[in-house]
Amino acid sequence: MSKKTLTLMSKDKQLFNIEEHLAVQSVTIRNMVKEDGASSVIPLPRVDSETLALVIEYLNRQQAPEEDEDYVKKFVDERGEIPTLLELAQAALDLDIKKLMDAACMKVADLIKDFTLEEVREALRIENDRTPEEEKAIRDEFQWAF
Amino acid sequence: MGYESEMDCRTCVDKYHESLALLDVGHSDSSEEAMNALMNAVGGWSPSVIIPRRVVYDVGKKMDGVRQQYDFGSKLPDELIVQILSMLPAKSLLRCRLVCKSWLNLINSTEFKLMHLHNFNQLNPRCFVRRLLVVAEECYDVHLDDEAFTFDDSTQIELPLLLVSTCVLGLSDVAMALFASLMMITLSKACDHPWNPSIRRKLTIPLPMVWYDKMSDDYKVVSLAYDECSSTTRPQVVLYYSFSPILILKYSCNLNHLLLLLSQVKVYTVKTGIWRKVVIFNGSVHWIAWDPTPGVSYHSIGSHYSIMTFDITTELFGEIQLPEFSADGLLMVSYLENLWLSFVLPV
Repeated sequence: MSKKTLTLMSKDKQLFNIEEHLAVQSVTIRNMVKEDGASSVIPLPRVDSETLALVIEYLNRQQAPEEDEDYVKKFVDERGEIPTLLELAQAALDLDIKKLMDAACMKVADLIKDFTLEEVREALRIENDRTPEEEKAIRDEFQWAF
Repeated sequence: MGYESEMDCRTCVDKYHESLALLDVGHSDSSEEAMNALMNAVGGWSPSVIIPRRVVYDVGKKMDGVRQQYDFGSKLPDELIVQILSMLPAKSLLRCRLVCKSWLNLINSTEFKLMHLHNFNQLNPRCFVRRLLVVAEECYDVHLDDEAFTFDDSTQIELPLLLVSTCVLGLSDVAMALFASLMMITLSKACDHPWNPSIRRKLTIPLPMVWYDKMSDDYKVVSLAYDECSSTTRPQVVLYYSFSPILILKYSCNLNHLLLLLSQVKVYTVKTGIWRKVVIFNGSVHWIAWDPTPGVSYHSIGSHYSIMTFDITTELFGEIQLPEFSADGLLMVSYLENLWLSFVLPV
């Protein structure tokens, strides 16, 4: 049986080939293949090429099921930068690859758990919408945690 | 931690402790190994170890609502933010409430608490360990459910009250106050103190009866009727319902009546002929009640038992008759300091 190949296109129009039986680990792709056979190129408008390359690398892993958990952990550990991990998590979310997304989120949580407020805001790209007075009231409620 | 010399722990191996197992902290298939590891780690005393069990919530469904509800003002998808936050320890979450307004709303929401409970505890399975010291003092620790049974110093268990009669009645797997990882209900003479060590907060609720209602995210206080004149006297009951298949029963000394809240009530379904280990289902709390008859001790064959029900929503009591117990079908009863009992029905 010949192995069918799919083509994925990143945000910056780069093309990536991947064997179909590996690509369908992504629920999103699986559904597309089911619907129309996905003969043409699958565009991924929110995923940049660097991230897509990582996702492809992950999908191409050849791992025994029992080693898989460890592999996913190691895979995200090696890419321990928060921005990379967030991109990866976002791509995994879009493509619906649950294991990868969970692992990436877990790694981010682990990295930010001791961050200060400012650092958390910066890492997760959140804007502060509070006045210092409001902040103080919330802070005082559980002073020991700060 | 200096356990070794000062401990002369009485072993409280009983169903009571198992019934406390609702720490919900993920599951442990390796309870025996964990126990052995603990024994090695602390040198010979016999702790009662509470082995957590997996509690699965229908998180996915609930979180759909959360996702639509919040706007995190971030370029990242909300789902990612929620996912990441649900994996943070309680202390970090307490800080994160300050990040922005929507985070505070999210973190305070019941849906998120359940999701956090599930996700965080699944990633960080922990065991609650109860120890009794020589001086008749009780100690509580949290250990990670790993091979070495590592002591978890991030969750400090300090009894919130210095009361002689304080005793931990139960553990709930749900956040009563904020994020739950561990909940204790302590009892003093006059008050109950639901207490969540993860966030170091306790509440004080006057007796008689209190429980937490998932639907309304609130406590319910209920007292059971006590009819002194009736021949089928029901004990005056304090029912601690801690939101999990766990109910604890209290023996009321003054009234000399037993009040049974059951750790693992099994419910007999006539149609299928199957005993089910369910305590809370169909929106009702179920527990075993015993009719005290003079001269008949509570575990002897002639005693009358039934399953009492209490519908949380309608607040109506009901009673389910139990089949007769055969001679070999004795109830297992375990004592704890003559005050606390739990029951397990025969399978």
